[in-house]
Amino acid sequence: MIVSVASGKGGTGKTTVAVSMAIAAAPVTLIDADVEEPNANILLRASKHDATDFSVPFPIVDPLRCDYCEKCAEFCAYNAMIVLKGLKVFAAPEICKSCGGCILVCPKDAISEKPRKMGLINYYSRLNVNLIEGEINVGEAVAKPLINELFRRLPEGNDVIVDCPPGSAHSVVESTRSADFVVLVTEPTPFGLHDLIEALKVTDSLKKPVGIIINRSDIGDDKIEILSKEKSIPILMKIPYSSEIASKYSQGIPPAEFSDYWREEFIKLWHNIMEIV
Amino acid sequence: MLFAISVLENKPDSNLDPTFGRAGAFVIVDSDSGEIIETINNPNVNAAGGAGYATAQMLANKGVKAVITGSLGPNAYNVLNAAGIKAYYNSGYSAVDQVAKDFSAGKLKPIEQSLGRGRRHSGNF
Ligand code: SF4
Ligand code: SF4
Repeated sequence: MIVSVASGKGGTGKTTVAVSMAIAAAPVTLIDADVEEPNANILLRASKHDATDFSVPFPIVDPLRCDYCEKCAEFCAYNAMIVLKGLKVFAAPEICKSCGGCILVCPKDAISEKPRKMGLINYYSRLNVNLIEGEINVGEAVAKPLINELFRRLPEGNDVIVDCPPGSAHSVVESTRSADFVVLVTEPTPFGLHDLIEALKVTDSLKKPVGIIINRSDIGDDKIEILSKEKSIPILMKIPYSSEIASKYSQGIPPAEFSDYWREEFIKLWHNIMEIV
Repeated sequence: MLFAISVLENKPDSNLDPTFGRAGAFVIVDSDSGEIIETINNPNVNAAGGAGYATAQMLANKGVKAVITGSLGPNAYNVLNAAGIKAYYNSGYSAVDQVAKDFSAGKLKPIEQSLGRGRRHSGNF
């Protein structure tokens, strides 16, 4: 079973929920798909036991063969091939999608591919939670291929929890695409409601079963509960504001680790999701 | 020497467009005669991505040696640099003939570098 934990924006407690659920459901694999700012391990506090480079194929032009015909630049739908006549031909790394098309269209056979390192895949383990974390290099604009690669690294047969990137952009689509169930973490505020509605558009379009977790459930209004009734989406858990959760969180300790009560609650949550799926 | 000015519309008496990669059009001027050689539509106005790269590439292949615009992204800056083209700054929406005069009089400041792209800081947990 793959369960993705997502939220409309950052700061809702998404990672706290993902890590707590992983600790409760262990043994389990946890994927940190927020490759621009991975932080699940701040709460898991595991030591790294392995890391591999993540590279993509990248076109390199041989200036001795190139005659500046511009066929590659005309072909590239992303405007990634730059031809400066008589001077230089090169691909723009932040834009190139590694499609390999320019190599095929070059009449002079001047383009070849070399791996270009875009980031790292890190492996951690603690409390029977195996964390696979993607970390994209600063400045790389395309998170999608790295997120896809994380899903290819999944061990067979293991249950998987995915800590999705915030927002409802492409990377969220990428990290919920193969999920059996999506948990949406939100807060009972107008912003929380707005972001929840945006996130539901993504999950609706992917036709995924969803459930809601309301964090800091005692601070706001009841609009989220009304929405959940209207759309018959279950509210799986409510986490009221607690100074204990907040202070442990600031030390990097998630509720399921320091509190028996919350560990039980997250175990119940996990069984609950298994029944729905 | 030829220089290009980013402009809002494809006509000789247009005004400066403060953007570069997605500028509406370009006016190309010969600095020796002060004459406008050409006005060209920018085909990259609605490009999905890489507008800065493509626009810089287009101007480089037109043989211009300087561009005047309001701002320059890192991509466009790098291509202009690789092609040996200098960029100069002009603010606001000044008229083309004024911009060209100021440039010829050496009144415009060169754009020395572009700001890099920042990293997302959401504090998301
Ligand atoms: S298609 Fe090949 S020969 Fe033509 S400009 Fe590109 S790299 Fe050079
Ligand atoms: S590999 Fe594809 S995206 Fe990259 S420069 Fe070549 S054609 Fe463009």
